[in-house]
Amino acid sequence: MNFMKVNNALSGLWTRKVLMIVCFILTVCVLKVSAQEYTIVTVLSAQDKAPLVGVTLHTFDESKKNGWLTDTEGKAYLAITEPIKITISYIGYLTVEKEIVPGESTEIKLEEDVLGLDEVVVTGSFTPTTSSQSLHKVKKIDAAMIEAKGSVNLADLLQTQLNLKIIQDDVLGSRVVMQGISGPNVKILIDGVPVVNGSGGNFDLSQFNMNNVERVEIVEGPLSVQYGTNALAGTINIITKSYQENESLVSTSAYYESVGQYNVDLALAKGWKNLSISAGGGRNDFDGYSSTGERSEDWIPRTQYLANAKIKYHFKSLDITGSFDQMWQNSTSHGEASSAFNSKTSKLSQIADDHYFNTSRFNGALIVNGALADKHYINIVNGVSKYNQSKQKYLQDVVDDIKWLSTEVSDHDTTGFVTWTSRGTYVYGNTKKNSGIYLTAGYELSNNTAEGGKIRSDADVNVNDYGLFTALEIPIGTRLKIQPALRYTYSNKYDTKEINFLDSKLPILPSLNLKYNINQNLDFRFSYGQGYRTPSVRELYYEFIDANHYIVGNTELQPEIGHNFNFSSSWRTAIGSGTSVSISPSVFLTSIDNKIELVRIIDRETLPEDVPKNVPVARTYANIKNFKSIGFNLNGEIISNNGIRLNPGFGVLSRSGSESDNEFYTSYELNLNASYFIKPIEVKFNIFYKYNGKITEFAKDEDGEIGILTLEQYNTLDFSLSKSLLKGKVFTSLGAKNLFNVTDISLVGDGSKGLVTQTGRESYYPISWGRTFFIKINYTIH
Amino acid sequence: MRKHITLFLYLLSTLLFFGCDNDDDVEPTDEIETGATLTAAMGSDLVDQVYIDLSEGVMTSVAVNTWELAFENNGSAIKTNSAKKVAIAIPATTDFDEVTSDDDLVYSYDSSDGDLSATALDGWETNQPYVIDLGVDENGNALGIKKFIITATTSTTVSIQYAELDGSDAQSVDVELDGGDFTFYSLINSQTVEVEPANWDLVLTAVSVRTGAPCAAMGSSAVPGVNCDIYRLSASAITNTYQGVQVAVDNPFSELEEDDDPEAEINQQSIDSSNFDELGISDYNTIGASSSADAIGRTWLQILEPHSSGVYKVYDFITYIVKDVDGNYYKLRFLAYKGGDNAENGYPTFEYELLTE
Repeated sequence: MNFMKVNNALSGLWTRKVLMIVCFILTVCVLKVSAQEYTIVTVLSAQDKAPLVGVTLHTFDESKKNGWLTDTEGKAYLAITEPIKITISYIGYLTVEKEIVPGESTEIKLEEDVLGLDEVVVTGSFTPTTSSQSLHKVKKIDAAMIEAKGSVNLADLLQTQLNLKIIQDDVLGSRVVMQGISGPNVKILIDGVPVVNGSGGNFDLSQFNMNNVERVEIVEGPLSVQYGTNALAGTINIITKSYQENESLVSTSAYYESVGQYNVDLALAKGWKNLSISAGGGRNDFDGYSSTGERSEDWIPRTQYLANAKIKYHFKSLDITGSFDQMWQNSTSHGEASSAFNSKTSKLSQIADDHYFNTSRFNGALIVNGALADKHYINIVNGVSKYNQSKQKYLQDVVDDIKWLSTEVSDHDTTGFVTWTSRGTYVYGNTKKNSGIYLTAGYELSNNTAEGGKIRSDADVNVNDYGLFTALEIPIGTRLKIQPALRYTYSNKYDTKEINFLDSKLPILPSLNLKYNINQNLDFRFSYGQGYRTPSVRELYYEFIDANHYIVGNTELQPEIGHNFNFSSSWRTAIGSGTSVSISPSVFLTSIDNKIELVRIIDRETLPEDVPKNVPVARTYANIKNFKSIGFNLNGEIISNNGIRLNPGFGVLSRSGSESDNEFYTSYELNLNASYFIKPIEVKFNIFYKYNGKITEFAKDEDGEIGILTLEQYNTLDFSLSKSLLKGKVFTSLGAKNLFNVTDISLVGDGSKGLVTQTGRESYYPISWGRTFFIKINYTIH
Repeated sequence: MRKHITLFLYLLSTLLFFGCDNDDDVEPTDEIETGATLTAAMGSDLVDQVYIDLSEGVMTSVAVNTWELAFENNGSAIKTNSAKKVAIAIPATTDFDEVTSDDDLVYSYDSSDGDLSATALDGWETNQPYVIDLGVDENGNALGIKKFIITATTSTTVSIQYAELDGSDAQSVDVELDGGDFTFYSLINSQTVEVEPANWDLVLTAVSVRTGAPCAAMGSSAVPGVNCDIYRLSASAITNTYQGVQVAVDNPFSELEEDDDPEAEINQQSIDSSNFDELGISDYNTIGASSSADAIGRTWLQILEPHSSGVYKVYDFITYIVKDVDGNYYKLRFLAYKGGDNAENGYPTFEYELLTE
């Protein structure tokens, strides 16, 4: 079976069957009432010339609405009297438009959509669209890829992606750097609902589990008009699994990885007519890993419990979806034990500081989307995202194995962040046929609060953003589409007029998207977007003060304003029979003014009186005058019908700004994802390779000297094979991750900030936990 | 402000047992301490000094930030409070009113070895104005700068005038010398302060220690306190040499240099190499005793790289044979620097044992 098309199933089979029956009845009726002549259209697969059954043919012209389906011989009988233009579409194949002349039998060969051009994407566009139609270049990582990589969480999945970097911290977890821009500038959505970020001001990607995920969509560059604040560097949209009407299943899987990961999960789904309910849960256990064998681990041990449920109701042409997912995580950050006199046992011993974290993440959503009437599409998303973490410090006597709670009040705290979002979008346009003018109007309300031990007690913690947006997609001729869009932004904390749209002093964020198709195989996309991000609650009011830390927010922060230009092209061709090639180059330029970064407090005399001047870690947030990143990416795709698929990529990233006096620091990346499906034995081999070139962080010190810190280059290579057994009931994948056994990568230089600011590590960075083997077994009963 | 805390955290049980067994009727006060393991709670910010009387097994904790100057009662020495970085600068003028700033003045500190002839005010003169940096509080905040002048001394009083650098808050005080070895005076609170207990052998205290290069070696590029002559506080054990305490040091690795590299040879040594068990009273004479106040000093404690991790190596293989103020001989070694309820640095634990002929 070809599991690269798991999502293609969508509403596929079922709809097709029903439509086929309807069509047969219609055809029979038509045959009976009229003795008209028929024009025969035969639809065949381009590859093996086999007839395609149940292919949808419909008229291009709305005024002469009509539709047909092909029969078992791949034939459709059209009763037409004048030439018409029809659209021929079939799931898993590329849609074709063709003019049919009465009386002339036509044979149409459909190309398999191996490149996924007709797959649905939702991120960035106002209505669901396809990869090839979307004005944005949407990177898709589907369930098959998740399985093939053996990815447990989002950090694992994005590890080998081009233009993305995952940075690991023992306490704060794995965070993402996109287009050279880190942290809060990357927006994460679950089914379009914004997720609140965590303790570190960045998302810990290891808290996003992949067991209930259908696909992940990534759009680089700002989507500020669509999603408001935060979406400056890019957007990662996690699409959770949805089940079809009348579909019922029980699915369970177990995962083991030799580093010490033991995961199990269970999913249940039951569907009726117009209604489906699904629920799932899981437990992930990780032993932790330390490259040096020290007690203090770079990857701290943790146990996660997961729960999720979704109810989907189809009412007329609307889908109403209610869902939640919840994660609880217990993790322990072990300290290094050192010689101490234990006052409890009155013995000389080895005692360590251990921090126990309890983390909880909750996301809930109520989504209504669909057509209100013909040409009137709505999408209303209401969501809440909560993050809560409590920390307790214990003293652990590692010799006698006794532990006790620290008596220091500041060693324990609980902090919570909550984001409420409501976004409504109305689209007027022919969404069914994806033609003509689209007019979009919408609103977004976002309410962000925080409370707890690590938030200043006097903080006014309501940071609210409100937006009204509109977009107009205009087709010019058949090849060009232009979409200007605007968002009116209001913040309760900041004077958004500083955005100063076209010198009008108006708080309006613009974006412009352009798509030009030279022909079916070559298209160009251009996008410009302005980004605007108000400082987060954390950046304003964070307060983490203990014996070793003084990390505080800064209420003087100014909002970030960014600009992003993106130009990309995609060219596709078929070589010989059954081999498709595509090449997609892209360039981007991002410039952010007032970029907010965590910086070291160098002048310790500025610390408040009650803070020890020699506290080891002293940090605060500050605006960096300007930051720029420029990049070039080249992605290729070669797919052959003998089961080979190759995805090579190359990327250059140059970063600069006021902190480097506009000098550019460049890094290179290469990657190759390859798979080979051996049909006779139905086994798929996968290889994931990535070369990460040196990457340099730069920052000015107090004297204005530029300090740089360079992370050395490294290569990662994963290998896996997957196979389904027992008629698809059992699916297994097994493989090896990190075959080059990469662990810590050294850091050289004297830079004072950047990737490592938050940890204070000096000489190395933990990249991976070395070579491991994994096996995953999934058992599904339909 | 004097607290007496007796902390018998761990008595060598056999000695105690025999002591009780032999003579139950003897009043405890007549008996001298034969040995104990004590933890001196200085606090992680070294906010307290802990005075130790070995023969009584008594520790007296005194807050550091209570005084700046200590006048010798039976002599002319003046100590400054090295435990909170008090420093002295000498202006060029002899006119008290002309002193209005400390610009271009170089501060000096008491020698960390407790030598009375190497204090910042050694060789002080009456009617010479001095600028005094009042040091830092427990969080490292500067406490300010004053100027003072000693106008006259008698055998029982020291007449001192002091004020802010701008001349405000002027005080003129006759400090009455008390009955101890030193009279401690607070310029911040304008009062004498009781600090030292009547009987003590050693004190665990912070001392101001220079880190990095001395300014003198740097020539014109020197900026005192910025790129040279930076002082930090470090825990030290200062003995009461004033009352005759002497120390003989047995260091099995005396040939190894001190080093903050965790891999250095000296940092690989452990208590297993200690001669503590074997050492007797005769070794006191064989080794030779020192009457230097920092004979113990900071020799038992070494911070390891990276300093930010706050990991210290305690040289528990060194044994100190201490002749206390009462003429008893004790052998003593440090076991840990980390301790207390929250296992923090600044809680040095040591054990000691009475030596008999």
